[in-house]
Amino acid sequence: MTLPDTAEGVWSAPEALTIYEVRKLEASFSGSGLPRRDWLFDLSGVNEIDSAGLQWLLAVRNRLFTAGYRLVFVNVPSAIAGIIELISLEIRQNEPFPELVTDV
Amino acid sequence: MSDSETVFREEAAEHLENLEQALLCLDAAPNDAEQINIAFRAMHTIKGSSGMVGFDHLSEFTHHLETLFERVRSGRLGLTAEIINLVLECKDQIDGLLRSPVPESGQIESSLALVGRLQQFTEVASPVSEQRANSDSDDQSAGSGCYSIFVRPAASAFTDGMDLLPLIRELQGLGACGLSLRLAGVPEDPELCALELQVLIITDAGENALRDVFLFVCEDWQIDLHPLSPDAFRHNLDRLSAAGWLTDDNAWALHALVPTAAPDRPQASDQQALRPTSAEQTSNASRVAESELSIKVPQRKLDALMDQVGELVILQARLDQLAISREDESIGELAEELDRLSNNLRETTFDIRMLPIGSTFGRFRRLVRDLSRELGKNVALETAGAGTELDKVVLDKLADPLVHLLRNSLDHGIEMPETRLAAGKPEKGTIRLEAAHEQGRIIIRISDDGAGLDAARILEKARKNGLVPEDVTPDTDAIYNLIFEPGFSTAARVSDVSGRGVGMDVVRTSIESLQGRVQLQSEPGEGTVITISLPMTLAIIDGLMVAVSGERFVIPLGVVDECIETRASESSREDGSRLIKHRDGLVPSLRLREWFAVAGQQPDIEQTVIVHVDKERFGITVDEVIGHSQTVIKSLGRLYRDAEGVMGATILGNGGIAMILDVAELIDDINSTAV
Repeated sequence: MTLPDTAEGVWSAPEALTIYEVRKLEASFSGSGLPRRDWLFDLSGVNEIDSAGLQWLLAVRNRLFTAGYRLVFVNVPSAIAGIIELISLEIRQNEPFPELVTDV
Repeated sequence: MSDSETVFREEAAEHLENLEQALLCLDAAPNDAEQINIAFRAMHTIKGSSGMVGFDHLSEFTHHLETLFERVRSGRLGLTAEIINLVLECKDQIDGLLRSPVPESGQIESSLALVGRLQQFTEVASPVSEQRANSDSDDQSAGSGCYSIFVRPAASAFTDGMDLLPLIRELQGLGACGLSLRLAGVPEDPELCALELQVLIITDAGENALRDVFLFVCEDWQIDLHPLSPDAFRHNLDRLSAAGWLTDDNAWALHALVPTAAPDRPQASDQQALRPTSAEQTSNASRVAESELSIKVPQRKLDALMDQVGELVILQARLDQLAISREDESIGELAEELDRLSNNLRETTFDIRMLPIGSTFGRFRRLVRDLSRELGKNVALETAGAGTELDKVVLDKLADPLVHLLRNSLDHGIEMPETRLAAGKPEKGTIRLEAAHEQGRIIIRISDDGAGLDAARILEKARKNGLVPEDVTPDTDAIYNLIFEPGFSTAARVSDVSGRGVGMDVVRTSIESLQGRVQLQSEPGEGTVITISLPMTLAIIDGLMVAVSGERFVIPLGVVDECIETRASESSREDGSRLIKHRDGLVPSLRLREWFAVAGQQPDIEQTVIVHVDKERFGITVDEVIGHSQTVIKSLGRLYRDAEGVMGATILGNGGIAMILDVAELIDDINSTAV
């Protein structure tokens, strides 16, 4: 697994971000200690993603967000753009959802 | 093949079975909402789960079937015989597509052709009656409805092979969505799911369609789905948007789509939080409880369990023997305790392997439907005793013989409609398939109200084939049984259905390989009844241990009536059979000593075990009766497979071997000697 390029702050994601990759990805990132800086994740090579991969991206993004940095996804293939959009909000996505109502 | 692929195939096969049964019911009652829902759910589940395990072509194919049933369900399309036939063809296509994730080119062509035919119905869906449409108003309100859905997948969702993303895409296909995804905490293990999804959706698909998205995860995931009033929907949009969970663009787009009037559905009377009610929680809990009522276990594990129980039974017999030989009370007590436990374990293990025969009956409805149409006949299949249970191994091996017997009944038994009417019979013929437990065995009867067997034609054919000499005329029952002879067929024409003369002898051989028996009764003009008698299991039987000059034999206890003392001097012979006096009559009998050529001294007083097969009584004479024995059946090796009168062997407590008698075969041999 390629470690993040700390000099550039750009990481090129592999072809697949799925349940089969997330453990290795997590080990790579947590092992080296994710450098505290803004990051660009280049997703141009990603052609397969599942919920586990999406969760891992979201976890990394939340960690950086909590530390005061940003994670931006770039070169997102159109096939997964709608999914990546779900985790691209300008909030820390481990806050609880607001309480909703059925009628007013 | 991966485990998830195996599980997928097994589950898909069950759903296809459900689909077929639903279609056959709908053939008779096209508006049966329950059956329509079953068909829809079968397609919906296969579509979703096939996509998750990489069967993308299958997922796409079943999507079209799901669409069709969604339209039927919503009242936009009425089911016709043509549609049902088409869906049955599609079901067969799915059977083929399940073999491999990547279909062959021929399969793809077939899929495309079927999809084209499906689209003729789905793209020009004809309205059905107003009454039908109105009756489904719960699902299809006039206009769009607003909903909130909160989804919390099970922590094991990823490792279970479940993926949230296909469900999100499915929701997006049903209407305009506002989707918010969050992490509920920091996942310690990246393979454990900590995602939560909040959805606001406007759709005209109805609440059921939304619930169906989560059909195959609803037992393990938390799914809170609520219809919303338009005002509540707007309110929630604003709250999510203000908290940053929806982009402004997304929120404004949804605002523009909110219906002006509330949909015709129950609404919460006042402002309340969207938490599951206690009733919903109870319902979820009961669903989970139901799911725990059964689990899927690979057959090889059950076989291994049965093997080990068999070994335990043998070990228990050794311990019993040790207790007797040493006259040790403490060992005796232990042996008794082990006896009790191993009996319970044996019963439980048997019970686990028992399946209702109805699962096999279900397949035959399609067979009868298709074949009767092909033959231009009008035939109803009636079944009874579908809940009768028998060992899965027996059940699996029984399917092919039953198919052949049904085909024969359809092809040769049931007459053409005009012939039936001319004979004063109802135009519609009936084939009845029934199962029951009788005297520790399974009895399966296939009866029809057709023409019955033609004894004259059978005899003529048998003489022509050299099966019966010209100067011999067997009785009618014996003539009927000639159809079980190899290569025998009276069919004037060879049809695709039967009549190739390779069937009935194979049926008998198959049944006999299961230690079963086939009997046939027929009445000209009235019909034919074929009765199959089978043991409930092929693994362990209760037996009566007997001995001849120290050699042990086991007689299956289910056929034993009583044991009587006989003397060698009382024996007599008549027409080659040895007869013994029993009560007021004579019973044919054989000495195992003579039958198996066992050396040794014949005692003056022998024991004769009176057994029965069906209504026939028969004696088996031995030196001594040892007693009851739980017998683990071991198959005979290739050399002894054809040994007459023996169905298998068992290992004794002392390591010796005892032959298990095939009583039915012994009776046949005596009867043939008598002829």
